Amino acid sequence: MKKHSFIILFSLFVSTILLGQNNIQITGIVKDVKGESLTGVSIKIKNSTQGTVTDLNGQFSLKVPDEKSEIVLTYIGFNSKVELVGNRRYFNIQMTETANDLDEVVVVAYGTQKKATVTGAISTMKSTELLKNPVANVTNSLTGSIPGLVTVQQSGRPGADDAQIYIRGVSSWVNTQPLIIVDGVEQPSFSQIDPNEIESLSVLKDASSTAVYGIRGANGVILISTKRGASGKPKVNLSANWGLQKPTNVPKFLSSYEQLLLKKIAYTNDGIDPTSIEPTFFTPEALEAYRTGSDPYRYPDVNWYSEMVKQEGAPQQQYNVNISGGTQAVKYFVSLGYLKQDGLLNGAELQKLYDPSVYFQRFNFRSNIDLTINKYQTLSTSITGRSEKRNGNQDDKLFYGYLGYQPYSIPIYNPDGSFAAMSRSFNPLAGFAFGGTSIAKTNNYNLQATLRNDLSFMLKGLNLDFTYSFDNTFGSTKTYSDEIDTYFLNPQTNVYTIITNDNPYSYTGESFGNPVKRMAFQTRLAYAEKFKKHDVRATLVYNQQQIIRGAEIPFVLMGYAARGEYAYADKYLAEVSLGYNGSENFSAGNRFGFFPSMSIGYVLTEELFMESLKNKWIPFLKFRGSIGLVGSDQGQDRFLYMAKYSTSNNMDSGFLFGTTVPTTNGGIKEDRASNPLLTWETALKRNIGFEARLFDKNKLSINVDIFDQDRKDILMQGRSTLVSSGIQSPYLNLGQVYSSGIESQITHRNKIGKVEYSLTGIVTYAKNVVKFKDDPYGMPAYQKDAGYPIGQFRGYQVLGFFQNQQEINDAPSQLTLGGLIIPGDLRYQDTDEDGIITERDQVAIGRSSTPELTYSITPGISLYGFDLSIMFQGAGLNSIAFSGPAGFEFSDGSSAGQVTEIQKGYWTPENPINSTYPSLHINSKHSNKNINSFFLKDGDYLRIRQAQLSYKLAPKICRQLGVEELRMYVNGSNLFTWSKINNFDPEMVKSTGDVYPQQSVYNFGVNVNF
Amino acid sequence: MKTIKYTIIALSIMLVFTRCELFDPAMLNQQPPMDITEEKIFSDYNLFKQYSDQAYSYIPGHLARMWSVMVPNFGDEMRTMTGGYPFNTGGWNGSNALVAPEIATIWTNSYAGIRKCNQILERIDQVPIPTTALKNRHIGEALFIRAFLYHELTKRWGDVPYIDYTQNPQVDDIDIARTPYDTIVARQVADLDRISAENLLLVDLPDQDNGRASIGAARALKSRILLYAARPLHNPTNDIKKWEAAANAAFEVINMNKYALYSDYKNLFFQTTCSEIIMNRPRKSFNSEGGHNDFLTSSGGKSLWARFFASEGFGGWQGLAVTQNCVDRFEDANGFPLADSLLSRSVDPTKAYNSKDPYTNRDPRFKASILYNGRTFANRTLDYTIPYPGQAGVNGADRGVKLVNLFSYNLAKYWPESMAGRWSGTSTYLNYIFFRYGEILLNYAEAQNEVGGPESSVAGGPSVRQVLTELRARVGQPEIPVQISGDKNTMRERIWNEFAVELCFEEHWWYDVLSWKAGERFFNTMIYRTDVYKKITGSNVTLIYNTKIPFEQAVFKPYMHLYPIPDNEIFKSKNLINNPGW
Repeated sequence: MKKHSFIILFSLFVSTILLGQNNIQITGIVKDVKGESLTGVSIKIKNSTQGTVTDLNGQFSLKVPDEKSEIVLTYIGFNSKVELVGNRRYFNIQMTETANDLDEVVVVAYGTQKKATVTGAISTMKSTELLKNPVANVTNSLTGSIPGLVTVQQSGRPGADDAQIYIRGVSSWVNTQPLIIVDGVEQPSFSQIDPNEIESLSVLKDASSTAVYGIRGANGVILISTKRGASGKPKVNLSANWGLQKPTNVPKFLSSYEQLLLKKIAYTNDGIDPTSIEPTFFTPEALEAYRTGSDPYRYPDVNWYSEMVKQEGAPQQQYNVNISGGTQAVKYFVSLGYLKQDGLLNGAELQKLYDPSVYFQRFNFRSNIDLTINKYQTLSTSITGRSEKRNGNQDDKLFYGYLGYQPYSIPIYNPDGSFAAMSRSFNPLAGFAFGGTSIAKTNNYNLQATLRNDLSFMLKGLNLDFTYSFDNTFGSTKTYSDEIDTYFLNPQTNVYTIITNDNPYSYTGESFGNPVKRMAFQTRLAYAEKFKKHDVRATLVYNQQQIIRGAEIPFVLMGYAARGEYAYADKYLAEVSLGYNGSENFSAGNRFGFFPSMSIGYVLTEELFMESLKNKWIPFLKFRGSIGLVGSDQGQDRFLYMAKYSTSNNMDSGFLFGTTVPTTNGGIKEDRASNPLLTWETALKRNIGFEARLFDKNKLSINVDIFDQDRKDILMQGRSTLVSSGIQSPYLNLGQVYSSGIESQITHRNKIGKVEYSLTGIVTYAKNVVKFKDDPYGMPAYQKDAGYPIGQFRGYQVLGFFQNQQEINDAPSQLTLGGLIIPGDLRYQDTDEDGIITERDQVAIGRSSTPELTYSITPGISLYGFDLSIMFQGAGLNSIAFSGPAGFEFSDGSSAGQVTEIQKGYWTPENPINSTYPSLHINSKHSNKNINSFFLKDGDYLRIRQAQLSYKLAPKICRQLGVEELRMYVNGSNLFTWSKINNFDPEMVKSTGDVYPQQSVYNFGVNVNF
Repeated sequence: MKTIKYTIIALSIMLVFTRCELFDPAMLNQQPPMDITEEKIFSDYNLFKQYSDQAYSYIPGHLARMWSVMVPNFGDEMRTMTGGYPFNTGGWNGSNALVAPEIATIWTNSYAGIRKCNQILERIDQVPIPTTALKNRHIGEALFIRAFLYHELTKRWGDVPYIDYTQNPQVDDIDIARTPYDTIVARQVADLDRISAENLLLVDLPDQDNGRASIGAARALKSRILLYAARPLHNPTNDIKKWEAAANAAFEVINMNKYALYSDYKNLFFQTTCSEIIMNRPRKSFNSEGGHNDFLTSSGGKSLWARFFASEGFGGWQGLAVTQNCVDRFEDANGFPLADSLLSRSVDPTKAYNSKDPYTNRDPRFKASILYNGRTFANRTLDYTIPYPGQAGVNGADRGVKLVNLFSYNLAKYWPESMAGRWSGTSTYLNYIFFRYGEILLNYAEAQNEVGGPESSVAGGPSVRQVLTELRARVGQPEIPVQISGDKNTMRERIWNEFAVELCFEEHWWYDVLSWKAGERFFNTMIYRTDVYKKITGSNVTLIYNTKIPFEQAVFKPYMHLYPIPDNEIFKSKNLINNPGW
């Protein structure tokens, strides 16, 4: 690795650059059936990497080696064509539209395949689809667009809003992250890539498509290919987007007066006289003043959440310019992108000295260059750079504060204009605007080179590639502190007391995150040849990578991959893939794993007896099936096979000795036993599916996949070892999960007159069940993990509200759960029937937090250059737990926590039947506030995930303007949501609600090509 | 053309195969550099001594080990900010997460420490230890810590599996039934006697070894173990021989003539070493080290331990409060309990308890241990008052607005006055005291009183009454009036109270009450709090104390004298049978 490989690659390149000439000059023109010339048709000399594309007038010129040469024409949406050169020197070629996507080429692991003959479960998404969604983070554009993909957005914070992606649901409790491969090289994430740089995205789902990744392939793979240049005149693409982000859902708090009335009830319900604790709020005069709002300083009514969160929204802008083009020898794609996403918090404008606002800013640069060195060699390079800046207080806990800040305790400002505060609550606005800031910068650059050698002189169809990639990520966070005077105005005495003291703005320090260097090397030997009706392809790959993260021990991975494909007459298809790779995570004897898979396909419509049906009803029907083994080497930590001893000087593992300055010898502690036999997690995956195109012109296309998976040997510590042995269990390959599901994509396209319309439906259902998690054998079955999905919620099963004291007396005692139980409180199920409600009565409630069902329906219509598409996307069969300020009234007893609209439906003796909420309690540890089925909500939602209306200027006008294409569009994301959860976003994953809210984006954009 | 072809082939082959790093599986031999193994530990003294010293940390010796609750919160001494603690409501059991630090963690940690001691005792001969004295010390420490950890287990659970060898869970049958309590006591006493007999530990520790076990600590532990063994919970037949053994064990410590009461009771807890401390867990000074600061995460050099329990009047968080039940146990200045105030007034009315002015004329240890209304602390007069019903006004600064403030009492014992009101600075130490001479005197008094009554003594030793008088004289409290301590039974009452007062908040009372089998009497009770009303009549301000306001009905059932073995451990075992009632 390192520099040597570069030197060798370079010498290879120099030694051959001056050589290689072709002999015959050919020219020609390519047109469609209507006689219009086609621009950008790729023309390649068969079995070589050389070629060209047609220019704006559909013309091309190319040198070929001899008269036996064949040229291959490919163009998206058209049937590819092969022409023998023979004695012709000028070609007039007509290409026919395929009107389907089957001739498209799909990017697969270490290569490409023709969509029609793919036998694995692979879905793809193109650049144009990615760009329809105006979200800043490209991971969120995938939602609803790919069958089998489940996404959950964690947070709306600019720069930290990655969606968590699960391919076909969750099958392990250890690592569920799919492998991300960008241009053939593993990357930790693709969230910060400029979507304008992406050509296509392939999601590999079944074992046959991921087995070559072996030990890393169990959770599926996302392959990203970036755009590359094609020879022709320079093409410039400019796009600009201006958007507005707004929180999707905001909790609705009650006014001071309403909250105090309810607080009084809550105190009384807990047997406490409210005036003995908070004498000032509950006097008749005070309540009257809160009701009328007559004295907003002494009796304030401040909704801190809406004061702090910009209701009008925050802007977002994104620009990209890219240029592509080239000659036969050099092709290029160069892209420069900029994104700025402003934050939703108010108050930054008060600060003149520095910028405390939350925002995210990103520059992306990419230069992909392909050099044709000689007849046998091409060199593809990419140089990418990315610079990210995250400004402002990065603590989502702020939102916890806003949720908990009571509207009646302090005004924002005192009458004298100073910030108000109280001994137990600081002023959120002052805290944000005058509380210092932080600036986190992350930079990344990546250099990648691939040298392709055409070895057809040795064996026809043989290619040898070398890829080297170097990637460096580094950055730092600078923090600045600041504090401002805040005062409490005593309403009785009118005396100001200082609460926080001014501290000057000062630089606190800079912390450097661990720089991460990733180096990868890959060699690929590929063979593809057609013998009459036999299509044979083979790929052999060696790869290794090394990741150096700060001072940590390097992460190293190496392996081989092989794939053989065979097709007979495009009818009978078979593929065998093998991965053989190793991970440093395991001991020497258990490092390398062998991961085989196979898949077969049968294209029924290629059979002669289908001929009549094919032309009219079923143009295409393919059945396919696959089975294979893949692995996952990721554990909870590194080197889990080794015994663990921890060393520490702190009090927990050391013990000080001495008098005035006690010291320690240091402490060594045995943490767990070793298990040299520890090895990777395995997934045995099965998949069957079919792809059909029905009716004339493929009006209807249907893809269905049914899949299942046996996940075994999940890494975990034994849970049935007695702790009296004094030692923790080693990590063992114990856990087992079975998951299964179905996914489908159905698309209908049609054209009536000038109107083209389409309707796409995508649905994924994937569930899992834990088969084995080493539950202690004596554990009651309802508490065991086995038999339930991963992440199953557990808590008390609510049987209803207690309607009267007699019911409470007769029911199993709930006193031990905390607080006074009164009519209107939640009645829990006594699962173990011992007459008292304890932890042992907790059962599985609801489901897990990961949706089992995701779906989308996308109608689209285009007419006269207008194009409208709306994606309705939904998810469901999951649960969301609410707790803390998001769930309960007065989440922190008397001093913090609020009441929202939801709690207005509290139980009263007068209205026992229609109550929608239990009795109110000030006690934050009250029985009602334990996790229970009442507070667990169904996570189902349906939302307008994305919508776009675009207008493409007619080609004639474009030509007059001197541009090739001009498109304007308005689009949006998360435009409307239907859900039972109306105070938070239904994708919220944090039960307490202290998370930066998810956003809707309203966007206008322009895209120009010239 | 051929040249190109061959160049490509040759260079490709070179590239791929001459790079030895490529294709070499040895590349995956990545390992942490500090690769400690059991073999290395027992063959390298430098590693061994670190391994051995760490065993001390399994002994619960950390007031803040349960974060927001302390042991005094279990019984009737204190209450927490949050309330509803399962030990108070009777809601604890072997799977409750809130009590796990006292149940599951103690079970797990004790056995982890016991394993380490067993390993050390089994393999010490293989360790190249420089001197015999050091080797003895390591043996002595392992014996001492093992006995201590078994005491931590037995005082909670009674019978527990006694394991004195290193188990290999992958090979051995580790599902061991519980060993009878008395058998464990015999093993503990034998180990501790061996320490004394073979002089495995030192009598006088050099300064740098403060914190280690000594002969005195081994004897103090033996005294505690035998006292617990003699108490009603594990001595249902009231076998007097057990009491004799306990009295003798306490006298063994007294008779060393090494330890003496420290004159300044209030500051005893801030001494690094002193005549009274038999064994402690040393801390670095307040703000610079985990120690008590890690009660809550220490940040910016602030000592949050004090801040956690300090009242809002000091800018604290009001995390803990002292109950009226605890306050009521402090006698008046005549030495009478509050219930006997009539009798006390007949002795000396000027020193008797007055319910209208409840904080004067009290045992000096009250002021040393508790903050209350009107008391001056850190140059501030504490204000726990609330407005008289119907009168306007705001709550006193120390009363604040949190529920726990309803008690109107805070902790003073672990809060050095010099630190009050500021949360940084390195002014003092707060070492955790495992054994102090005061406890030994009480151990002696309790055991000997059961053997022969208030005036009896072991051969050559002081009488029960004498040691109690000595203990009380240190703070200026008069001796226990004979009127209320004339016989074994009345004296037992006073001795129990003396345990409660002298050792309040020191993690004794809860376990003492359990071992006396008196949980229903003390803990199945109403917990009271106090309101101090500030009544304004014209220019006169009068304070009205209501010290009998019910706060919560605490629940304690007879079976709770022994803890439940953690459910999860029971689930794993075929041989472990839980204590009855759980």
